[in-house]
Amino acid sequence: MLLAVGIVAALATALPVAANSVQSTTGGCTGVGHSYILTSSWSFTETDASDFGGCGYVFSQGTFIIGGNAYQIGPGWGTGPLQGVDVFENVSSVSGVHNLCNAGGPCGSSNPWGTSD
Amino acid sequence: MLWASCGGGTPSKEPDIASPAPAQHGGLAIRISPERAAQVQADDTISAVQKRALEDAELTFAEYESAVLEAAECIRASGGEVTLELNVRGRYKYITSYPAERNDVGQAVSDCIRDHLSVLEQLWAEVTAVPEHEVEAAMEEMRSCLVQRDFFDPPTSGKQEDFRLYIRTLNSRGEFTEERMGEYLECARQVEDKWGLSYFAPITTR
Repeated sequence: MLLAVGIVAALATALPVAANSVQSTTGGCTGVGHSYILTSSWSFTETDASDFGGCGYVFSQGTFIIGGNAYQIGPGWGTGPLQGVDVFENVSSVSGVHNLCNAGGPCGSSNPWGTSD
Repeated sequence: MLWASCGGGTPSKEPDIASPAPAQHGGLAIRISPERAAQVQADDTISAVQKRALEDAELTFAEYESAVLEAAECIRASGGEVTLELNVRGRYKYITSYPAERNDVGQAVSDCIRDHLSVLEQLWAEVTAVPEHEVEAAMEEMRSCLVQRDFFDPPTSGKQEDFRLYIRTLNSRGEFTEERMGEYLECARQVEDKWGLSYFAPITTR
């Protein structure tokens, strides 16, 4: 319990310097995606997506700008209900494209969003 | 032929992978339902190359690997770079890169993946998915590895996402020094490689 409180407290003080999120529903499947740039002594960046229910899985792609180069991860870094990629670099921009995939069927429409600092 | 299956089970200390050697992934395949196969063939947004691979309602490792290599060739021919790593479950991890100001190359890279791989990658991700009880065992090893390196109270839940929250917490406290980050990466890469997890270890160009 104390650990849980500790994590919540820490997250409350770790608000991203840049973030964006989109929630979407497709074919009875609802999910949300985020992109974050967190900065301290190191840049810490992630893009992720969560299945709120009714989905088979999420199928995501992330693009990170690092030192003048764009690095594209995916599409498709897993088949679970919550997927994310963390990057330990000085990232100037991050964007994610997250597909919500219906169980046993094809993915729904893509929901792109981006953020930068 | 090793058909993909899903299911629970008791946590094990070793991955339940019948053929860990990359050369033996040739036996892996996924069969899709006739309905889904018909859906693919009728979808105008799916390329002819990928439709041909699924004409028999079956995707083999050879077909998947061929699609990955063709996508990589296309990406390089478009001016992008790509790194490929085959994991113990027979799934490729690929990271593409290109000059940030070259939006045309970025678009070409996306087109290469869309045309050669996107649908097949989705199907292959299903056949190579890590069973939940193996994820839990892998996360137990991750925790042990971090404890051995004196990280304070890593997650016990067995969930990958809790490790992502954990490092965010360390970062917010200013405890994620370059040295600690390197130690975390070492544990994460070791666990990712052994258990064939997809993109568990944070990405870095170092």
